[in-house]
This record gives sequence, structure tokens and C-alpha cells, in this order.
Amino acid sequence: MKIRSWLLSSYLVAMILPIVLLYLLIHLVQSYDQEKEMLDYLDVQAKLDHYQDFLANSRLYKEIDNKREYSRLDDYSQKKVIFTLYDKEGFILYSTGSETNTLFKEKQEYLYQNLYEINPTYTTFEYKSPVFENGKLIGFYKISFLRLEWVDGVDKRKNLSIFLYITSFLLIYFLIIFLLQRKLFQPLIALMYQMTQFAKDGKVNILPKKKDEIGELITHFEMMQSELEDKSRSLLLSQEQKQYMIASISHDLKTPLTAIRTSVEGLIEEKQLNAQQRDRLNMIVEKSDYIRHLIDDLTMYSILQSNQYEIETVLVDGQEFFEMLLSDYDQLAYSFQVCLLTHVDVHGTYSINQKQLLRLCDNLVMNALHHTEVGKKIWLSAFSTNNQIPDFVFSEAKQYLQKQGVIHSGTWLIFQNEGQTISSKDQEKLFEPLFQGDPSRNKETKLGNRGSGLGLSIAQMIIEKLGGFILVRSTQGCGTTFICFLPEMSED
Amino acid sequence: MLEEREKGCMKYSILLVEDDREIAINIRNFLVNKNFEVTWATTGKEGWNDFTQGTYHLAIIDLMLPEMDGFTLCQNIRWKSDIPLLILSARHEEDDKVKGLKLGADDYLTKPFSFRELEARLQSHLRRFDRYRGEQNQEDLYHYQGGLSIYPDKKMAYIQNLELPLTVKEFSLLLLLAENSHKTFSKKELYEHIWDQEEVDGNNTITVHIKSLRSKLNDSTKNPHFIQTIWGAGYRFIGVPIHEN
Repeated sequence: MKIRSWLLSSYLVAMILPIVLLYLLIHLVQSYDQEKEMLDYLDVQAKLDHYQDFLANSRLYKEIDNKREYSRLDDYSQKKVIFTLYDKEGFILYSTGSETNTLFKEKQEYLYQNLYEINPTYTTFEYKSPVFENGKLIGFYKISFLRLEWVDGVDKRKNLSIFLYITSFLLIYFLIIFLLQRKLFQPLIALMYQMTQFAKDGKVNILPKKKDEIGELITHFEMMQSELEDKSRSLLLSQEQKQYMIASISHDLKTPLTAIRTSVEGLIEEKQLNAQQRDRLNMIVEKSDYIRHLIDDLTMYSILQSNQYEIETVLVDGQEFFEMLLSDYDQLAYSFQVCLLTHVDVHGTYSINQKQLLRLCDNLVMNALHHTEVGKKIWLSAFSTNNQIPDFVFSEAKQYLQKQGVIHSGTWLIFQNEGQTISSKDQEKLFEPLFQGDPSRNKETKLGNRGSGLGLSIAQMIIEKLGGFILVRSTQGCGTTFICFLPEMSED
Repeated sequence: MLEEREKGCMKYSILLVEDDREIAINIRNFLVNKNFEVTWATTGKEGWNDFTQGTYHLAIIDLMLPEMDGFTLCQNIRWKSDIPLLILSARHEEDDKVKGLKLGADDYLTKPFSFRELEARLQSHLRRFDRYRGEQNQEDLYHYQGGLSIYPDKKMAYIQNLELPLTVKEFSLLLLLAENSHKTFSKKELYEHIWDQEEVDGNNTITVHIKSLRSKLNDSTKNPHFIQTIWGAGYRFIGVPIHEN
């Protein structure tokens, strides 16, 4: 059944059913009333003759003390019948079962109404009759037969009806909630769970499908799912093709490059060259090394991008490894005429890939050197998160490290250079491949060759593969700090 | 055979299997200039035929070869002989390296390489192979490129003819590594060898001694000439020995 029609009919049921129920209950009480009234009426008729003779006695209405007579009335009444006597003016002479035999006067209209008839009220059957003596009116009497059983029955049924009505109302309410839960809420929750699961890791179970709107929704969801899977499959395929292409091109480029390099090296070996010729040949070797570097970057970038590539790691002692990592840059810094300061203070064990971290370190050091003016400083540092932050770290970076040092447990790798700063807008894009921010940062650098433009992207991918992260902070008037975080291996 | 080789006049004979004409010719010319005897094969099959018909001290094999690929050729040669195998490849994947080394290759050079690099590798492997075959006299063992000399009897080591102020343990460490050149020792093994007792967890004695030894040898951790760190495994000696003659 469609949920739309199901909802509409459930509304209808929820509205109409209580009304129908109410009608039925009222009807039940009424039918009891009619049945019982008939029986009671016949009973009263039978008793009436018996009381009439006694009450027609004229002595009861004369203004003398009739205590003896009245007490006989009391005996008759036995609580189920009330006798009320009036004089001809309507004053109550006596009434059994009540203390009101004062000078209360009943209205004449009431007294003369429905005489000689049995009149049912809610609690009694009343019978009124005038009393004559020698053709002269001397008073009235009224016999009230109490309908105790009937009143009791009606009350019981009334209570039962109210109870039944409330119960059935609640029953309908909970039944509808239960059905809504089964028909609407549960399938929706299941579907939402599936969607979250699919977004998270792409794996979902097959949901049971009914022929309603939820079923249609599930069908549409499954269609979207398979479409997305198709898309990601084809994306993966094209990515693989791209990687294959890059790998092939790299391979095809390297072979002629090897031929060029070996040819030139062979020429350099020859002794009859003059200095100028030798310089030119050395330049070719240098440029071919540079081309090799670019090809390597491109290949590494595509390898790191691949989902299949899992970085191999080994466990090492932190201090020993980071000392090695940041060592041997003095000559390089000297050639750039830049002052280099190194600081290592690490403890604990780290899971690393030596080659890739060296690549990251080389990339970041080269990046720092290329953007530092002659005579200025660069700082390289590695220190555990719970060690003191070195004084040379610029304020912006220091603030960040102070905040984050509490959260993370591992080592901070700092590559800081004096001089140029990077706007916060560019800081976010800096790690995108081939990002061209401030053109001055990308101009032909002082030692000739520009990088491939992939260096920082590669660094980012490497550190992320090792479970860390990289970011950059600039402090106006001071310079730029690259911060890498590498998590420590836990004791177990 | 090697035994027949007279010192100084017999040339090392090298099998070069490379399908790229220019590269092969350049390498051949270079090696011939450096006084090697070179046999050049252009396909894997041809390389295999040359190998079975001649006697070689070392083979340089390109991975991408027609008819029989470099891996198969390496495997085949390794079944028959112990000569050093040097793989050349333009492929980048780390897998290739591991696969090649598993199949019995001794070293791996990625294209494009420099002649200096090639020559250094060749020398290192040939010396080692000679030593392995018992070709060298005892004294040759302890002189290395870079000016390092070790005298086991006197328990002394020199660098550029200057005596190294080594402690007893440092000297033992250096000697153990040098006598087992290219063998990787874990920190635990070194500790047990030198201190003759079980290593306690979290002990960094070896790290400290290696560091001190390196600084006395003026050796770099990153680009070492003598003691190389194999991260996650241990240390090994990589000094290139020099013949006295």
C-alpha cells in the first residue's frame, strides 16, 4: 500500500473511530434505560394500588396530630418509596424519608400537573393524586418510587463507557504510532544509515524493498549508488591510465636522456678539450640532471597520488633519525650564501620511510633556500611535541605550536626562512600542484633552475601518507615557517 | 678463470646487456677507456648465450630487454654463477628494485646515471667479489678509499695518515663492521658481539658509539663513505677497499 493512501486512511480512522465508539456507548446506555424503564413501570403499577387505598384516608389530611398514622406511613415506605402529603393549598403535611415537613408550599401548577399518571424522572417514578372527602378536595398525595437499581446501573455503565472510550482512544493512538514506526520511520532510519555508510566507505547492504514510496526511494538511492560507483570506477581507471601514461613517458624520456648524458660524459673524458668546451659540456650534464629531477618529481607525484601505493615504513629511533634527516645541508646553504642553523631534540620511536622523508626534507630545504636572500638565515629543527619550542620560531608559528602541542604527540619538523612572507590566502593554496602565487616566489631562482612546482605537493602527500600533516605560517617582518607533524609510535 | 689472471695485466671482463644502441656504445667506450674488457649483447637471449660461452667478472643488465627480460636473465645467471649483477632500469617503481635484488642482482642503477656512479659501483662490486674468491692478500683488507686504514694487530686506525683517537669499543665496532663489509648488523647483534652480553631494551649505547665513531671518521650519516645506517635494520660497512699494488 502506498504511504500516501495509508496516511490518509489512518487520519480518517483516527478521526472517525472515536466518534463511532462514542455513539455506540451512548446507544448502549440508552437501550438499557428503555428496557429497565419498562420493567420498573410495570412494577410500580402493581405496587400503586396497594398504597393508594391507604393514602386516600381523609384523616391524614385533617389538621390534627397524626403521628401514629404518619409512623405507619414510615413503615410502609421502607426507604424505597417516599410518600409526600399536601393539604389542599399545597403545603406539605408530611413526607417520609425527609425532615422537610415544615411550612413549605408546593406550586399549584406542579400539583395539578400530570395527576393520576406515573411520571418517570431520572431518580424516581412519581404518582400524584388529589384526595376528596364528600366530594370536597382536602389534599394531595405524591408517591415517589426510588429507582435505585436503575440509577446504579446507569452510573456503572457511564463509568464503563468513559473507561472504554479513553482506552480505545489511546489504543488507536499507539497503534497508529506503531504502524508509522514500522512503515515510515524504521525504513527511513535504515536508509539514512545506508547513505551515511555509503558516503563513508562505499559499502552497503541491500535493503528490503516494499511497494511504497520508501521502496521507490531505496530504488532511487541504489540507482544513484551504482551510478556513483560507475563514475568512481571510471575515474579510477582514468587515473590508472594517467599514471601508466606518466610512467611510460618517464621511462621513454629517461632512455634518450641516459644516451645524452653518457655521450656527453664520454666527450668530457676526452683529453683534447679546451676549458670553454668543457664548460659547455658540463652545462649539458647539469641540465640533463635537472630534467631527470623533473621527471622524478612527476613520477613520484603520480605514484603518491595512486590509491594502491602504500608507503613502506620501518621503526627508528627518533633522535638518531632526525639528526640524520637534517644533517649535511651546510654545504648547500653555503653555496646559496645563506646562514643555516639546525636543532634536533627528539625522543621516542617513529615509523618512517627514510627515502620519502629525505625527499620531503630536500624539497622543503630547497624551497626555503630559494626564497632566502643572500646573508639571511634559515632554521631547520626537529623537536618532540612536549619539548620546549625553540626561541627562533617566529611568533605566528610559535602560537600555533603552543596550542597544538597539547593535542598531538610526536615530532614537529620546522623549516623556517628569514625574509619573504606568504599571504594567508596563498597559504592554503601553496600545497596545490603547480601553484603560482606571488610571481616573485616563482621567478627563475638565483641558482638557475626552477623547481617542478610539485615539490610542496609531494611533501604534503608524503607526510600525510605517514600519518602527519604540513602547514605554513608567515610572520610579517620576520619570514615564513613550514611546520610538519609526524606522529610518534605508541609504546605497544 | 680468475685464478689465471695475472695481477695488473689481466683485465676485468664485463658482460653488458643493453638494447639501446647509444647507451650501450657510450658505456662500452667508457669502460674500455677504464681498462675493462666489454662484451655487448642487445637482447636477453644473446646475453645468455654470451654468458654461457665466455667468462665474466661482472654483468650489467638492462631490465627492459627483447626476447628475454632482465629479471629472467638475472635469475638464469644466478643459478650458474656468483658474479656480481648490476641492474640498469629506467622504471621508477620501487618494486622493480626489490624484485631485482631478490632474484640475485647485487645492485641497481636508475637511468639516467652518471659514469662516476657507474664506475664506483663496478669497482666496489669487483673488489668485493675478488675478496670473496680469496683473491686478495690479508693486508689489502684494511685500506679504503677516503684514506681509512685499519691495523687489527696494533688495534689502531688512521684517516689521511692521522691516528684516530678511538676507544677500545669503538675500534672493535669498526673492525667488526669492516671485516664483514656490506653485512648489516642489528644494534642487538652489535651489542652482543662487542659487549658480549644481552642487550637491554631501550639501550642506546650502540647509537651513541656509532655516532661518536662517525664523527671521528668525519663520516656523514646521510651520505656515508664508511658506516651506513640501514633504517629499521641496523648498520653496515660500505668502505671501498684499495689494492696496495
